[in-house]
Amino acid sequence: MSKPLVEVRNLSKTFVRQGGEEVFAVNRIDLDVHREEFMVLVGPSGCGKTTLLRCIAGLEDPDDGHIRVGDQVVYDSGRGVLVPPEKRRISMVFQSYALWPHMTVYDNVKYPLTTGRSRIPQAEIRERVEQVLATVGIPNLLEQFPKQLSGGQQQRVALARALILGTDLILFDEPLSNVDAKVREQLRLELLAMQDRLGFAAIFVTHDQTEAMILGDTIAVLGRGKVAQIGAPRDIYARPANQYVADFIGSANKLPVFASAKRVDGGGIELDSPLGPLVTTHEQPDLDGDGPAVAIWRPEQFSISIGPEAPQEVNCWQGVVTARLFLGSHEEIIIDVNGTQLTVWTTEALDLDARGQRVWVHVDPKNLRILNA
Amino acid sequence: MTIEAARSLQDNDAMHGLPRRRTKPCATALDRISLGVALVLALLAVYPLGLLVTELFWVDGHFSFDAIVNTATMPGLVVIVVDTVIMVIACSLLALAIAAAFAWLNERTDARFGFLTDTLPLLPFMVPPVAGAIGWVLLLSPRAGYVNGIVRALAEPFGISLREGPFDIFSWGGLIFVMALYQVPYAFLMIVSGLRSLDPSLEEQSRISGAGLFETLRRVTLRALGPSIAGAVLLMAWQGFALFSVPAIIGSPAGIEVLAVRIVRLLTFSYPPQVDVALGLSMIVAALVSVTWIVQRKVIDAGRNSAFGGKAHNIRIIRLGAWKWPMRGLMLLYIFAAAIMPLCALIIVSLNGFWSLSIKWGRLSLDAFRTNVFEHPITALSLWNSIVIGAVTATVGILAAALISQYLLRHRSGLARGVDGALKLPAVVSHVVIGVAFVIAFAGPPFHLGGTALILGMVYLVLYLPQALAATDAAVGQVGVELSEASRLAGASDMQTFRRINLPLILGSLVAGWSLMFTRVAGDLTASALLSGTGNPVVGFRILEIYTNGSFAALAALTLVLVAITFAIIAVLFAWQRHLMAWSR
Repeated sequence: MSKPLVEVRNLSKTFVRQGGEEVFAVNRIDLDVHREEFMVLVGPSGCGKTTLLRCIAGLEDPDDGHIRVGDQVVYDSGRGVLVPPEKRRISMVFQSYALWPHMTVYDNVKYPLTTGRSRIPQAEIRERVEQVLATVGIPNLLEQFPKQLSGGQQQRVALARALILGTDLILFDEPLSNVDAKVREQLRLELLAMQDRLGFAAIFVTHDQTEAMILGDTIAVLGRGKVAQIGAPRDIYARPANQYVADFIGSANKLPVFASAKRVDGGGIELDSPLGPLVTTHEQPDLDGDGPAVAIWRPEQFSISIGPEAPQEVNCWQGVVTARLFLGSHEEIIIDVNGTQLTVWTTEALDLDARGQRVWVHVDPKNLRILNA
Repeated sequence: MTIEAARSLQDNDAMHGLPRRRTKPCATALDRISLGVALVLALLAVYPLGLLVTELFWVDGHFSFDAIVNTATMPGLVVIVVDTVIMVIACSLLALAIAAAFAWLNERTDARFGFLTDTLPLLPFMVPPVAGAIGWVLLLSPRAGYVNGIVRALAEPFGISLREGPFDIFSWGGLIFVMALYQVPYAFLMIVSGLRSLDPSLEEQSRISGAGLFETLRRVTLRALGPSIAGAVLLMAWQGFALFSVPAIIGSPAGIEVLAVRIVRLLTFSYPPQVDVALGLSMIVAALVSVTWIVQRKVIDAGRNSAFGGKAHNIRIIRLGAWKWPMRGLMLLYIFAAAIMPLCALIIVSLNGFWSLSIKWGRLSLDAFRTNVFEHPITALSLWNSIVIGAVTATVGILAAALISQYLLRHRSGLARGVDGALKLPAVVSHVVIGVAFVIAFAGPPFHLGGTALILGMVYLVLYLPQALAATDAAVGQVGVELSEASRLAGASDMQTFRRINLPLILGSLVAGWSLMFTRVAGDLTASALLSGTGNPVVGFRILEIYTNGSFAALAALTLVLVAITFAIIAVLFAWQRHLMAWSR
């Protein structure tokens, strides 16, 4: 693996609450981002993703650690290095677009070209601005003021402004949160295509796990200032490291399981749960011997059937339908099994009442994973 | 280390609203310059006052409390303090109500009459309070006032015969009325600026939730305008406590004496001047204004509304229907009362040659202007001096204020707060006391600046910087921080960001602040009386001289010329500012 473009080592940042209590927004995080990689930082409010991004940008001063971007060490607590944001070769797109209202689109986008020491001729500036505006899909808006544009257009201008210098790294702070859903989908695809074509590395912060999976080459799931898991979307979805990640990325059915595991004929392990015995074919070698554990499986791996008899012998329960939700591409059915709410996603057309019907649900042992709670 | 479930992290989601410990950016060139400017000006404010206080309490080589004793035992102290407080509260409330109503009408309804209602409420800025006070005396003086004369003439045919009145400007009502007239522009500016930068979705949200017009106003708009209103109240309190001309001209003949007037009398009308009691009274004013300042700081700190937040939005105008023209009429009536009527009185008296109800219509002439102003060497010189010194002081002052406000926004160190306090200190001290302090500190050895333009510029800067700072404080607080951050990430240094992003966005406030400072400096009375002389006269000095031993016609003529020049300069500035701020419409 080649040397990463961005290297974050042991980074910490604390804030002081009203009352004096110190809170770790970023808690000794290590992170690598490679050239042309689309890295997504995802997590709920307060997990530290935005603080981490702002530390890399230089908008926050960390308390400890080391950050390198390209050939430049931009922060090192040991050597007392702190490079101000204007000297870092990084661009950023903000959630509120941060377009300067007193300047036209043209002036907004050309601004990064006018801040350096070297004087670029006006003709070349014009050409580059027109080119980047065409790249982001709004070639004819040069003379407009931000106030006259729609949300999606404003965000494209912000993106153009970030692209114009051709920096190797672009930071995104929840840029699509303020844009409506259809425009968001459109912009995502365009962003992916642009990143692919222009070849910049991106660090993208979002709280939306769907967006994270769509956009990221790599996802870093953050919680409480630390990285809970980092990996490709498929890997994180299929093999979450712990319950927190399983809950946050995608949906999950979960049942606490108890330690007494025993081998079963035909391969697999049987564990005890509030709903009775569970069988899984997954070995979990890194499971803590005595710690609490939980069994996880995805709703789309959960099958539903109607009939008087259990369709399978293991991992099969009878429950009552409490809700049926139509989501267009699939149906979500919530079932109460002895007091526990479980969710099924199905694309089958089922002859079910919305509520109250007794059904059987079953999960294949190979889809049941056991994780640390 | 285990990671708890996402749900239990919700209690940590206050992170976005956590009062961020101010990260200390490394000191940039801009920071150093701003701090330097702030320190120099703070020193300029504190040194003379410190010297004065020292000379007061350190008499003949030992500590002395005589000053405090003399102040506490001053006859009529309680009455004066109470009268002052009543006057300030009454006129500020009245002015706030008028200004808020006009601001809302102008910004949120279709009563807006374009350029007229946008800028005419600011007309009183260009009329120095002394001109307004004299004008209203000419109009409502019980015997010779023009309005009274007209009313009496109209009442005659109905059999009502009056020897004087019916209105008497020399009363509580008259005093509060004229004071409020000249407070309105301060409040208007602050509130309009606040309204313009409010996110209208706040109000729309309230309307959609079922709240009627007035409820929305009360619960949403007024609350969100907190900082602007607090800033307006502070400005008006400063002005109210410090103003000398209006209470002297209107209050004193009515038997209402306020602190500012008494302080001047102690320093100029008694021999030897009772500096110790004057200082003691100034301390009382300081205490009163400090209370207002603390409240304003709390309101600004608590709810900083990020206004120009990088997302553009449009405002929906409320249609007033049948109320539109009556409301417009009201706004125009204010302008009439504040500017046009007093100016007309001044014009009549100056053209007539003297103040009398019998106007010689056939013999009106510009003689008064010629002899008293343009051909009078001292008066002409005083005009020129006031304009030049006014322009220079206002330019230096407003730029310094912008730099300092920006600095104080980002730095909350003990030094920053100390400097903030020092710069605003002169506001709570009477102008006369500051004048005396400057005489003691700079007129003689070792600086020998007595009688120069420099000492005048310095004292004006110290006197009027607090007002400029109040305006720039609010203005810089309304520019969203991400606008500066985006600029830094685009490669611009702190200095470039200030010049290209922050300054243009607060330009409207800067121009208004400049105009304020210029008008105040050009029309300053009290400090000018002490520090200016026939060698280096300014208009304030001349006005006081003429008021004591000249004619009303000469007074009117000089005041009118001052007003005309101020008006011209400011009109040009405002047109230029409208052009520059076109993007915000």
